[in-house]
Amino acid sequence: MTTVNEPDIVVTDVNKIKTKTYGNASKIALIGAFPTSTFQIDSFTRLEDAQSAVGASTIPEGCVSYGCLPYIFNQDDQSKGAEEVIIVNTNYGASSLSYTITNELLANALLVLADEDFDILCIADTINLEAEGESNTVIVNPLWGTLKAFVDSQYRNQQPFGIITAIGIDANSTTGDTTLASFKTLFHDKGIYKAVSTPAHIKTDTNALTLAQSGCWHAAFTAGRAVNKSETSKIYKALQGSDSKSVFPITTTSGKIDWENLVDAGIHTTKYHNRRLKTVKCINNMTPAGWDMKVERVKNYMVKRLTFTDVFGEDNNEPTLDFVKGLFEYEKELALKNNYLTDMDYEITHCGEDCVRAKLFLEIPEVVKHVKLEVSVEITPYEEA
Amino acid sequence: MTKKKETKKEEANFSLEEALSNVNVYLLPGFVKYIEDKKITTQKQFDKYYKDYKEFR
Repeated sequence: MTTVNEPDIVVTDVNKIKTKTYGNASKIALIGAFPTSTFQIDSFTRLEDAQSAVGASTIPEGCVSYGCLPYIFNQDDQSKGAEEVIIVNTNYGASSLSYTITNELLANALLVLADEDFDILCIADTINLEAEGESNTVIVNPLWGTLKAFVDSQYRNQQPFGIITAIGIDANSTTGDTTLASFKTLFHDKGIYKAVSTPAHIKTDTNALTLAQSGCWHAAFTAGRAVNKSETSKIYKALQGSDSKSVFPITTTSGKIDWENLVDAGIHTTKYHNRRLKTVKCINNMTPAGWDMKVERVKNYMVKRLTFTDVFGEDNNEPTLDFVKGLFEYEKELALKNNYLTDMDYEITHCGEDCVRAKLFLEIPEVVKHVKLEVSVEITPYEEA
Repeated sequence: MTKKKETKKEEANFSLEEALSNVNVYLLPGFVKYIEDKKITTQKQFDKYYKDYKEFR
């Protein structure tokens, strides 16, 4: 027992705090069906805390979401991982636990999540691309429509984010290419960072992760990297598989999907960089919007950084407009200095007695995806030295 | 009351706009698209389609 005046040292475990540097948008929101009905939502920085909050004494076999937790907290040499993970439980308040996320459960979870601040949304489950509609017709799974409505709504409220999650695609579906085209159309302007189609296989593991776990692994990977970092043709050092070209081989059967269709639709795919060494890289980090993921992340980052909430309650006059201009100028300088943008233009005007309108124009560089090397050779005559 | 009269009464009392106002805001755009080619004239029909839509997984 220490006395009051005796010098002592007290050690306690506290949550890890990550230093936020410019270019980080690393807060993840994770929706899952966990084996408890008493937990609704909370933010975690440690896996152990999350596991004890959403877990149970025995984890039911069908509970996919619980098994995803270690991967959403993953970090490695290439990525610092998520700054924090906000977990929402679809089983909150349920009279009997269900481990399937229906459209209604997802939509209810999104209502809970709407006021939270996060950068990436992940579902601790696999959402199939296709669902069976009326009279055996195949449609784009309505859960994607629900997610897109949430993307649009949050973007309107200056809380932009992107989805990184597993997408279940049946390579044998004969309606696949039509549904894939509808999926691309749905997310044609924004929303998807990475729709993970191919299981990740971690180097130290015997088996590949489930698709749901792979979605979480990829969410954590991207979260821990600066927003201007593309994954196009970059090696995932922690992975040894899998190869999308094998999972979705080239097909000539009408209606079926192959890896080329997936790349064209902006679905995330991987391939071997070196099959013998089992190194894996991203084929193309293009999103359904048609540009690289990093373009969408930088755009969202810039939109989110403009803290307009500071001018609420201020007089609608010139000094306030000057303050807003200063905000834009500050962000422009930072973004240009850090090479996130090549240019930024803006225009700020009054649009009514209690309204300020700002127009923002961002010039974001695309990434290099094609190299044209022109080679010429000249044969030189042999000459004795 | 005959069945025909009952249906007419249900139809007269039904307003699609009002029914849609109770739909979860994030389900709404997708649900509107889902029922765009369907003729919904009673609350019962609406409830059936909405139930189906909510149960997708």
